[in-house]
Amino acid sequence: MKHWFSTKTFEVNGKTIRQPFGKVKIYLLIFVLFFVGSFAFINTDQFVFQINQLFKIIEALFRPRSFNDIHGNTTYDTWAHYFEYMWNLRHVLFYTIKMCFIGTFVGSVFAIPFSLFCANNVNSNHWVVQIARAILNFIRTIPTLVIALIAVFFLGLGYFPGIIAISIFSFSILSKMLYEVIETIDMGPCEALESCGANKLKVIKLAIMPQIMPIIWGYVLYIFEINIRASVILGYVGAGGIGQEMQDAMELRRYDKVGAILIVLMLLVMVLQFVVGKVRGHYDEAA
Amino acid sequence: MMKQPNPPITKRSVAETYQHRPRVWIYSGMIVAILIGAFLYSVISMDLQFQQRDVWDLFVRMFRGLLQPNVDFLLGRGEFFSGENGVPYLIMQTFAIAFIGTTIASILGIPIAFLTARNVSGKVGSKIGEVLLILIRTFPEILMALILVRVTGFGAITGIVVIGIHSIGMVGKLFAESIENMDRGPLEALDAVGANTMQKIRYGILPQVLPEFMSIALYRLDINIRSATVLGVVSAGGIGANLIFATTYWNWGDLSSILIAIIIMITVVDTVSSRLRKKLI
Repeated sequence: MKHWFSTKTFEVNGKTIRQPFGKVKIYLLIFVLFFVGSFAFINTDQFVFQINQLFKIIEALFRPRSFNDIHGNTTYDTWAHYFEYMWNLRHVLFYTIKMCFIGTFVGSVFAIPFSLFCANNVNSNHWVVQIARAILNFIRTIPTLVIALIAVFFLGLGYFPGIIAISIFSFSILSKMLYEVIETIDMGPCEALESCGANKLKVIKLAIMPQIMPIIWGYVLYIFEINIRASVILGYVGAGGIGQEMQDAMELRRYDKVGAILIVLMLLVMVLQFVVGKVRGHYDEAA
Repeated sequence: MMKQPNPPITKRSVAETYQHRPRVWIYSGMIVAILIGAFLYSVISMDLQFQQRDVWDLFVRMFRGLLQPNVDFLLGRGEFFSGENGVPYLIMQTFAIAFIGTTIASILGIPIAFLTARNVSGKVGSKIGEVLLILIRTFPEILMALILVRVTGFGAITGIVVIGIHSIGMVGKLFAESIENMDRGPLEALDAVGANTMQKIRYGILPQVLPEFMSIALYRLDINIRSATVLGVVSAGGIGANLIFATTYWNWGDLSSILIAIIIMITVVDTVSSRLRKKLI
C-alpha cells in the first residue's frame, strides 16, 4: 500500500527529479468509497430476477392482444386492430401537443423578461439578482410531478393542471438557461447605444434581443421536446394527454395499447429531436 | 441561399437611408401573430374547464401545512428512527440510486460511444450506434421503470437499473461527440515513438477524453438526481413513493419535510458538481 502514495525519483544528469504527486489516486479512492458506501442505502429485500417476464412484456407490447379461449388455445387480435388504435390516437396526441404548446408558450413569454431581470450585465442590482436566482433555483428543485399533483389538487383532473405544471417547469428552466446565455453576450453594442443616449428598453430591443433571439428559438424547441416527454409522467397523476391514455391502458393490462402509444410517442420525439437538431445546427452555423 | 444582387449605388442622405431601412418588423410581426393565433386557437379548442372548489381556503390550508414540516420525519427520530422510513435514509437512498446508476451508465456508455464516434468506427458502425442511442433515449423513463419493476422487483435495484439504462442514451451521445472532437496529433506522436495499443489508449486517448467524460457524467448526475425522486412513484425505490403518498393524501407536513430534504440535496449536489466541473475543464 505504501508505494501507492509515494512518489518516484529519477536520477537524470546527476540531478534528482521527483515525479509530481498525482492526486488521481486519492480522487479514485474517494470515488470508490462513495460508490461502495452508496450500496449501504440500497435495500435488496424485495429484489427478484425474472428475466422471462421482460420478454413476456415486450412480446405483449408489440403484438396484438392475445385471448385465451376455454380450450386453452391462444388467438391474437389482428394487426389491423393494432394499427387502427394507433391511428385513433391522433386526437389525444393532438391535445397533448396543444397542451405542451400552451405550456411552453406561457412559460417562455414569462421567462424572457425574467431572464433579463436575472442577468448580471443587464440588471446591475446585485442583491435583487441573487434573490431572483434563488427563487428560480427553488422552483427548479420541486419535481414537475409535485407541481402537477398540487395543480390537480386545486383545479381537478384534466388538461388545465398539466398546462400549469408545464408552464412553471418551462419558465424556471428557460429562465436559467437564458440568463446564462445573456451573461455571455457581446456588450459592445449595448455600450454604443447607451453612449448615444438610448434607454434600457431600447438597449434590450436593439442590442440584446438580436444577439439572443436565435438561441431562444433553439432552447424553446428543446424545452418543447422535454415537455412532450414529460407528458407521459404528467398523465400518471391525471393531468391529461397521452400519458393518461397510457396510464389507463396500463391499469387495464392492455399492453398492446401501451405498445402502440409508445411507438407513436417515440416517433414524435424522434421527429422533434431531428427538428431541434436542424434548427440549432442552422443557428450554430449562422453564429 | 440565393445570392442577392448588389443594390444600385445611389447617394442618399442619412434621413433617406433611415426611411428605406429593412422592414424586419413585418416578418417578426407575422411570426408573433402566428404564434399568438396558434396559442389562442389551442386555448379555445382545448375547452379548458376546472371544477369550482374553495380554492382560497385550500391554498391557505396547504400553505399553513407547508410551513409546519414534520420534524420527526425530517430528522428521522421518534417513530421514524428505526431505519428505513425516515427522510434521511430515503434521501440518501435516492442519491445512491442516482449515483450508482450514473456510474453504471457512464461505464456502459463508453464502448457504445466508441462505436458511435465516426472517426473510430466508420460510417456503418456509427449509424448502428446512433440508432441504438436514439432508441434508448426516447424510451420514456417512467414506462421503463413500470416494465422493469416486474422484472427486478420493487425497490432500489430497479431504480438503479432504470437510470443505468436510460442515461446511456444521452451520456453515450455526448461521449461520442467528445471523442469525435479528439486531437489525433498525440496518437501519431505515440505511433512515431513505437507505442503499442494499450499505451496509445493510456497516454493518447484517455488524457484527452477523460476530463470531458467526467464532466458529462456529473452533468447527467444532476439530471438523474431529479429523476430518481420521481422513480419512487412506480415503487422503484427512493423518496418518490413517500412524496406521492404525502401529496395525494394532502399530508402537507410530510410533503414539506420531503421537499426541504430534496431541495437541500439538489442544492448540495448542484454546487459540488459545478465546482468539480469548473476544475475539470
